[in-house]
Amino acid sequence: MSALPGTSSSWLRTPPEGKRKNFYQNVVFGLTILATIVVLTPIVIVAGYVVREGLSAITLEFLTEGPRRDGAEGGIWPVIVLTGYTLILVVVMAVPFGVGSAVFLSEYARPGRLLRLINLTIINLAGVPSIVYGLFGAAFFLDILGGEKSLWVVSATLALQALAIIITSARESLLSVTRGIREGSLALGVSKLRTTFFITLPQALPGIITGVLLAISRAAGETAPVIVVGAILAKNVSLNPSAVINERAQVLSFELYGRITEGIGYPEERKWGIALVLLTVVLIFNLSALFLRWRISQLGSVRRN
Amino acid sequence: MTNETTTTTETGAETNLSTGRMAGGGVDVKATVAAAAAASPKKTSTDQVALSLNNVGVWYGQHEAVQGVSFDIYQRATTALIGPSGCGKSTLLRCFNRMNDLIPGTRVTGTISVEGVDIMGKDVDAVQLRRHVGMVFQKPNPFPMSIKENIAFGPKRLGLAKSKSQMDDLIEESLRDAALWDEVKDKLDEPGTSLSGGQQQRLCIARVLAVKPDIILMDEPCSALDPIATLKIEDLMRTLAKDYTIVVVTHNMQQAARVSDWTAFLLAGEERTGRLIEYSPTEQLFTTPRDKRTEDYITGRFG
Ligand SMILES: Nc1ncnc2c1ncn2[C@@H]1O[C@H](COP(=O)(O)OP(=O)(O)OP(=O)(O)O)[C@@H](O)[C@H]1O
Ligand SMILES: [Mg+2]
Repeated sequence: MSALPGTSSSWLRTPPEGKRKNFYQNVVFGLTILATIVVLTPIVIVAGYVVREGLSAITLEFLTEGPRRDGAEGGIWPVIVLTGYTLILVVVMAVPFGVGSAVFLSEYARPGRLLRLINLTIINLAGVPSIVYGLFGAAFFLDILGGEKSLWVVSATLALQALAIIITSARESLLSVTRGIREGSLALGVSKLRTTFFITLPQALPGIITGVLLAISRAAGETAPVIVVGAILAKNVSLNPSAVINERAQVLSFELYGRITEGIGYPEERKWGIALVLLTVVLIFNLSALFLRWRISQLGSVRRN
Repeated sequence: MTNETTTTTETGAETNLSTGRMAGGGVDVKATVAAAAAASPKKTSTDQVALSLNNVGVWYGQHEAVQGVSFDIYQRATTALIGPSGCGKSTLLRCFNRMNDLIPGTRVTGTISVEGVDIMGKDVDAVQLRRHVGMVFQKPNPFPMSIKENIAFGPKRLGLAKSKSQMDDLIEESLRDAALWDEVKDKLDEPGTSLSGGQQQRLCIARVLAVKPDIILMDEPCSALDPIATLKIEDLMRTLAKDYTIVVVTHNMQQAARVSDWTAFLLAGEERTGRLIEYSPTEQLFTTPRDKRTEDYITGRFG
């Protein structure tokens, strides 16, 4: 049997209008790649530039010793350590409250106008300029509570800002957990609290971690609010954990800002060196969060006892 | 059992109904009921009541979704709830384990008693109730954990197994009872979501069995499954009916005819409020319905 000439399996071939569709598809695809490149290029250039300019400043002394001659020599070890303390304290203060509120808002609060208002407020809070948090922190922790200008005040101020970001993102990831598995657990006679703990939270964890990470990275980069609540430039102080209460904060972001604005007399490559250290700290935070996410997905799929 | 399975191959009525054609739909169902009844006698004893509904109504805010439903569901029998989409089958079913409590704005009126206890009573703990009245959902919803942990989750959270070996026994027993053991015994540590749809649904049934309920509610448990998987679940339901009281919502009248001993037909009018039209032994409802509307529905004249 011979097929009709010219028509055999012609439906398999792309019709002309299909070719046009393919063309558009390719154009859109190309554009997305272009957009990615446009976004990535400055990041790579900036990072590359920071590394090139700052690498010469990175010596063992720079990283492990205290400042000498007003910071023009020596290192930034106290700043690194106290930045670590500051950020850890931000995590300790913001994560339990942030995740706790998110759980309450998404799992327990009664839907209605009030809840919508609260959610809207929190989302807006996440967008408030950081200097406003600084002013609030100064007014609240220093004036009203009568605190000293110490490290924990800086952390608490940064934590307020982080809180808004953490609540918003944690709430989103909790809401994205399907109703099906929650109901599955509840229908077994498992209480709501346990369902939240053992089903909903583990499912939402990767999203929550991403939010926390975002908030912490942002806190690490803030300068304006930490100045308002009393961060200082590199100085040799006792670095045991009691510094949190006894010492004023020294953070990389302000160290960098301060050295830039101070200007004359501070070696140029040391500024880049600080920037490089700051970038590295943020990178370490990001990587450890990635690692954590990966560990959790491993646990989730194999066993969790 | 095997006889039942053979009758299921003639699934004409179901397709006719879903495509809106009605030719011969009722006849097929009748044949199915007769064959099923012959294969395993329908349990129509009214001695022991498992669940008793008295003038039950459900409101979603201002919308009355179900009104004035009264009937008794008998122990160790399978009861099917049938009716057109939106007539309140799921709504009613979710009253039996107070799943509707979880939807804000829902109100249930009338009384529902499980083994003589009014489950809507203020002193009744819905969480405890759900241990005794298990539920299987339309879409298989395994937890994002391994097969083993899916089963162990309930007992572990409820403290039902004292030791590891007890838990392992419970896991095996539950999977066996759900007719899944042979298929998964070598991959208990693989994620529950890696199973096929039908296996996932049986996993969800096993999960329910592991907390040892008395009553099992199923809301269209086969609607997401292919015919073979559906048959397996139906077989399973017939087996489970020996030990459990089962209430199943289904769109598939063949299925209702095959698996259930009793059938309740619900219908919603213009105002979208579901009412109980007829409740009879399955055989009777499908062969000699008392109500004209039941007759119309089972012969595919609407719905
Ligand atoms: N969460 C809810 N909030 C408000 N109304 C609802 C809710 N769930 C169901 N309803 C309404 O209640 C009525 C009954 O719904 P239900 O889901 O019980 O029907 P059904 O018989 O199970 O239908 P189907 O066969 O399509 O599953 C419908 O009118 C539906 O719109
Ligand atoms: Mg339904």
